[in-house]
Amino acid sequence: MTLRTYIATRIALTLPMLLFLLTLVFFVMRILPGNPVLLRFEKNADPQLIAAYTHRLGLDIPLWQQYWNYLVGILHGDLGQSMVTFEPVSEQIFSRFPATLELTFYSFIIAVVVGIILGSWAARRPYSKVDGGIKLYGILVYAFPVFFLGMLFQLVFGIWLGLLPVGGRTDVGMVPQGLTLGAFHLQTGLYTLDALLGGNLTQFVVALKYLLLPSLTLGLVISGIFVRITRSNMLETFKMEFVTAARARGLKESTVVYGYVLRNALLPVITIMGLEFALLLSGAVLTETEFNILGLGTYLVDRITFRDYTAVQGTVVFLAVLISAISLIVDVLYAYLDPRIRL
Amino acid sequence: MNELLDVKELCVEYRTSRATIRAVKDVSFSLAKGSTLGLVGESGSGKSTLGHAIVRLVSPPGVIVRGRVSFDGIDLLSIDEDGMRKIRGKRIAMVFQDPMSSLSPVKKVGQHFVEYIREHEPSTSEAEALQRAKATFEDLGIDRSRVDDYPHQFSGGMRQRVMIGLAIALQPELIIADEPTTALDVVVEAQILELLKDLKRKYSLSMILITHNMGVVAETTDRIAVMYAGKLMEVAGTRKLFADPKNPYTRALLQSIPNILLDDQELRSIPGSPPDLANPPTGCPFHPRCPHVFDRCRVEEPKLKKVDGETETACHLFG
Amino acid sequence: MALAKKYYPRNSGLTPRITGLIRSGFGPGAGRGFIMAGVAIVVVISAMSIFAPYISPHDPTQISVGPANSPPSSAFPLGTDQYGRDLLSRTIWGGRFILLVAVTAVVICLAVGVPIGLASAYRGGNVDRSVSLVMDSMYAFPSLVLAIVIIGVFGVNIVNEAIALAVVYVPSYYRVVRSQVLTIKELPYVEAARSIGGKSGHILLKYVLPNVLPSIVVVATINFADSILTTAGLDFIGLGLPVNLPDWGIDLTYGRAALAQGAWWVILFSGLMILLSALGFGLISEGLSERRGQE
Repeated sequence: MTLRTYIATRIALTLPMLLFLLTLVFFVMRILPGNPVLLRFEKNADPQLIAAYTHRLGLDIPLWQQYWNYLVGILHGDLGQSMVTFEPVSEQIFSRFPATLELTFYSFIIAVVVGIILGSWAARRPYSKVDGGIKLYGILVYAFPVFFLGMLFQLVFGIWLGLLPVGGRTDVGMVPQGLTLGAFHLQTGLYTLDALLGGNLTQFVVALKYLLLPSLTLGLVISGIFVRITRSNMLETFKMEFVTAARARGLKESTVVYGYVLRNALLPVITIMGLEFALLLSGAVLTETEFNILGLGTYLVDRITFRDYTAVQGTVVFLAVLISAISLIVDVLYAYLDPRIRL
Repeated sequence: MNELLDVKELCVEYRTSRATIRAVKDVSFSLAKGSTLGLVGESGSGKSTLGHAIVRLVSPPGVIVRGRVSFDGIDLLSIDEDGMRKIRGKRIAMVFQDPMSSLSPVKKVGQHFVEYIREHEPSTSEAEALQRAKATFEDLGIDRSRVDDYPHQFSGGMRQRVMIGLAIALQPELIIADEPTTALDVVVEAQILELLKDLKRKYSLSMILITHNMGVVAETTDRIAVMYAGKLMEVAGTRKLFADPKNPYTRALLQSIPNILLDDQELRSIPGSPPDLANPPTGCPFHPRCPHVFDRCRVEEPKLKKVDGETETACHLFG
Repeated sequence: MALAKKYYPRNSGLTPRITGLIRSGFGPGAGRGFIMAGVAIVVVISAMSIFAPYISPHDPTQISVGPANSPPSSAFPLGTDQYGRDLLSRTIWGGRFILLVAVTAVVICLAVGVPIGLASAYRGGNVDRSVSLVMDSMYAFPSLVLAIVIIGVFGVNIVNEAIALAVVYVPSYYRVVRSQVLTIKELPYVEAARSIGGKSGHILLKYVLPNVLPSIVVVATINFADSILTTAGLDFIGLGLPVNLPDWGIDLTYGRAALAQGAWWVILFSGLMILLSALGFGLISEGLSERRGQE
């Protein structure tokens, strides 16, 4: 199968999966509890008020029509209105998502770097004390509740040592404004990126300071899986005959490890990236709560607490689309990188 | 001394938490320059381990316990790793059984060559190395443009040619071929054996051919060493071995080969099964299955010694 | 079939099976240390939770048992929180909800995921493909997010949380079971069983399932660990139990406020308990994986 066929097939597969998820969300929000408005106000509310709300939110039209509008809306980026403020949910999501994206990005980098370094160390010294220690690290870190780790970091580095801020994204008045060139304005909402775009190094450094503890927290917890996978993949790869063959040709051990073992061992790691992203998102919700970062995670928790079910629905839809897209990209990337599939 | 390789009392063990397996037991033999030695035996006889041990490629839990491997006067077991590395690939090369798993699937075939050539001859530029790779390809009957292909794009026979190419690219003196044709069908096998013969002539190679296929050794070797349960049972000139095998194991082995010329032949196998190397039999390892077994066989392990001209055998029948 | 029964070997009874199972888990070999450590931790924590009413020195919900926010002392070995409640008692009681949810979630997953996996993989064809599609869609969805939504909509109780968790984890069980079944399905002995007229259900139960069990156990242990962490997380963000009941996650929320004043003890022990519980299962799962890798 050529790469093009593979991509086409994979996209074709994503659509029904996504549709399934979106339908699931739709029905969870409607069929089972009945009317989301009723859920919100419970029994004692004024029936006229409920009717007004229901009408305003477009929840009194036939279910099938709602479903259709829902799907069409998603195609246009319309994720509904908040039940509380009647603002478009998509606007709210896009104002909050960058914080989550930034946190996830840095955490991911930390997780991958730590994971691969430790994992390969362990694989090169199997059954040694170093290996045992690293294996234990992998298990320990994965079992660590991310919010607890966050608290410990805050306690040590924020409160006892006073080195780093314990919450928020940046100092007051230090929010980077991004790039403005005449009429063209680019502000991503990712503070580190915006600071760089605006050429303001101080803002960049400050934003990083605030990001250090949360991304370290989330990153270390996620690194556990990478450590484990890198280690086991590398151990497997070391046993393969092309490694012995490479050594038989007199190649330096470092050449063998980097050119032969690592490249073959790490390739399959890409396939778990989709799963990793899900874990990152779950962890992000907790990390954001712990470090008072106003991201999509805290938004979701907020909206649920306020019983803003349409906003919740919109957020879940957004995440479903995001995850499907990332899974797709990851699979295609793997297919591209593995010459056995590409050619 | 015309001996290119002289192995003395080589012992290799696999040490696991469950047991210690003696895979190669006090093996001694020598290889004359320009000759081909066939190393035959069943699976688990230790022949592959022996091949790897010569170039110190035994991986844990395997350990080379003792012995001497003298290559052109150098004791390979006592030089440092760096020195060993310089010999591997340059003076002694290995060809492996399965060419698919012997090449890195994510690396272009040409790159395997380039890396390898530049490791041993660092002054070679990348372009030069690639040219040499292409030349080797041509030598082996592979299209030059295929240096940019990946291993999986080749057929089995072609891949083995690539493997052989990698082995001869730097014109080594000794090639250890570990079951080079086992993974190939008979037609391709014949081609590869022919190729090996040609290369041997062209580059004056010495070769150790490890295989379980008696037919292959009959064609391509000058001398044959028969291994059983980690021990050398017989070493003799090829013709001599087939014409007049001394060791009962060798005889049984040869008798079990079906002869296409005889009608109505009953298939003769060797009764019993190869020993559990974690718990080997006492005395001669073959004694439980040997038709000529007597008391001494069960107790004392026979030593390899000359019994008839150049033929050596390890059997109490010969004193 | 009756004829075959007559020739079943005598030592295929239940006792040798169980001894065999225990030996395969605890016998000498790789991963043994991890497995034993993990089991020990799980047993101790479970016992602590089960016997909480008997070993807890105070009522965990009673306020002003001692001075508010006092560090560990001889009277209160783990200190007190800002309502003066004894933290030792709260810690002993704190795992009940979390562990109960985890157990329920795993039970639901086993009851749902394993049969679906077996049936779907064995049947093959379009049924298998459609079910796989559904499972794959849910596989990569963040567990906590889904749990938040389900809890938020349907309310908090043990069953709801367990269901929320199960929904996300069933695909893992499904996948593992399915991949094993697909391999085993083609093996000669299954073919042999079919050829002498064995019924599908019988084959699945007697031949396929026993071979799939080891993988299921590994997935279950990871599932346990994840459930503990997710439930604790839900409690932490306030979507868990009513607020004054003892729970490790809730105590962490309280403790956060006290953290600024340097009161480290409120969060430390609850956090450690969550960590230990998840760790116990994690160790078991790693030990088992190592063991199977050795085979």
